[in-house]
Amino acid sequence: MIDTFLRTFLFLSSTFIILHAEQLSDSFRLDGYGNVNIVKTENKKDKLNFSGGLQGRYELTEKLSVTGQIHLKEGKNSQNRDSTSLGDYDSELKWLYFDYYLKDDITLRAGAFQFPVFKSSETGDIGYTYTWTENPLGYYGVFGCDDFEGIELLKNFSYKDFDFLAQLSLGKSNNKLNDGRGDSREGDVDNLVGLTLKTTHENFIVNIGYLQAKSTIDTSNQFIKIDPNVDFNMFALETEIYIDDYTLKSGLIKTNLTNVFPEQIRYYTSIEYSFNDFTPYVLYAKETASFKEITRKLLNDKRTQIEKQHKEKYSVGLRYDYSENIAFKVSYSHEKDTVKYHNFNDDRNTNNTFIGSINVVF
Amino acid sequence: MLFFKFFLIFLFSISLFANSLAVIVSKDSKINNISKKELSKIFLSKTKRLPFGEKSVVVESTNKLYQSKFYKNVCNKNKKQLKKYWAKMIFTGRGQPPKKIKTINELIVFIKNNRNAISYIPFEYINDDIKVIMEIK
Repeated sequence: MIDTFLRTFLFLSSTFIILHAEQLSDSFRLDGYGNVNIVKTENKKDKLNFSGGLQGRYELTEKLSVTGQIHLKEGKNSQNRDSTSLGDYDSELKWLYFDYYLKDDITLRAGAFQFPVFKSSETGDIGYTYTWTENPLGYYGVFGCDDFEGIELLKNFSYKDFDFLAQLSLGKSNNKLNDGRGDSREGDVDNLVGLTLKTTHENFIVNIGYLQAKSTIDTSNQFIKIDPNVDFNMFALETEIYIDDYTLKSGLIKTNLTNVFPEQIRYYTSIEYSFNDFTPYVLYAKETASFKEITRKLLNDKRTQIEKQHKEKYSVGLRYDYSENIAFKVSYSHEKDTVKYHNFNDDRNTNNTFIGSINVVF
Repeated sequence: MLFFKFFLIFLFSISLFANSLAVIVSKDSKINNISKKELSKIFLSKTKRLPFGEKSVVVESTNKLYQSKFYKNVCNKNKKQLKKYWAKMIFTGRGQPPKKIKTINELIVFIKNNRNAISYIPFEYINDDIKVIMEIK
């Protein structure tokens, strides 16, 4: 209890002290964010999570700048379990890149980035930037892979009342790829090519993203021979439509990996209504993973061979913008997990979760 | 009676200008007027160019009241919507908010000395050193 109080106090006091730290000089700018989440799930221990980050941007010349972002999150203790101790916090360098303005509407970047193809993936850690208590999908990357090193080319242009941002990303990543059943496989992701087009109009935003890459995974210790080469591609279509005080947000993301990885389709839609500082919302999200024959062969026991897995989430929530820097949020979600095995369906896994959040930016 | 009418008109003029903002550039700037849409794009960092193609230098006063009025009127965003917008732009590296200058007098001096600078100030501060390209009522 004292530890929880101390952590809350430290987090909030440090945040408030530098809440207005923005432009520290003509060339240097510091920004930050923080999230506190209280998660109450049926039949599980309550959790209090803290995360946050700082971003610094320094303009070296009129055309060249460098940006770095460090993300802090709870880590693992010596027993490799989730730890709530201050000493076990992990820091992760999320972004580190140079920006060079080739022309005023064309920017070349080089360094380490987050995957650009999803509308919210680049700001997924910053709760303040979205209405929900958490991102509608379990994760925004491709089977656990969500960052890369390489170059990006950004081009802004307009046509009539439409504004466009086109983004080309090239690079590689050395993440672990998750095979959809909870196991990770070491593997380098090479030849990564991403293309994103964001269209903005007065009443809507459309974000279209495509990403493809090749990977070589570690296949040692398998009792049947599998190909270590994996091709993956991903397509994302996300929209935001504004009608008076209502906002309709939807997304469809299809991920396809060859080899032992399942095909995955993820979908979400939510309706928000804004009045004064309050934004209530309802959200529905569904994720379906279709496992392949090769994956099933890896399991000896036919009874445990998974063919499909569906995860559905129904959520109601409320965001309250207390000030320009602070938002409070609550949500209540019902989640249902259905697993289709070789000869039976298991739909016994349901969960009700309450989340309370405080999100700040400064 | 005539004096009273002039006095009323004078009071009305003061209140009118007190509530108005002027979008300003240097006297040396080629710009003589600008549309709300162009202004919105410049101040939301969607373009780095002024209407005649020069690189823009966007600055604004730290005064929150002036900021509120400007962004509500020009960009149709309230303070909280604007903060959310900038959080997304900043943390994805796609844009930076205008640089802030503490006093209106410093802002006027900055605009006067920078041909590509653009800003907004209350109408009553207008002087001959700067050019008004739009009035925001």
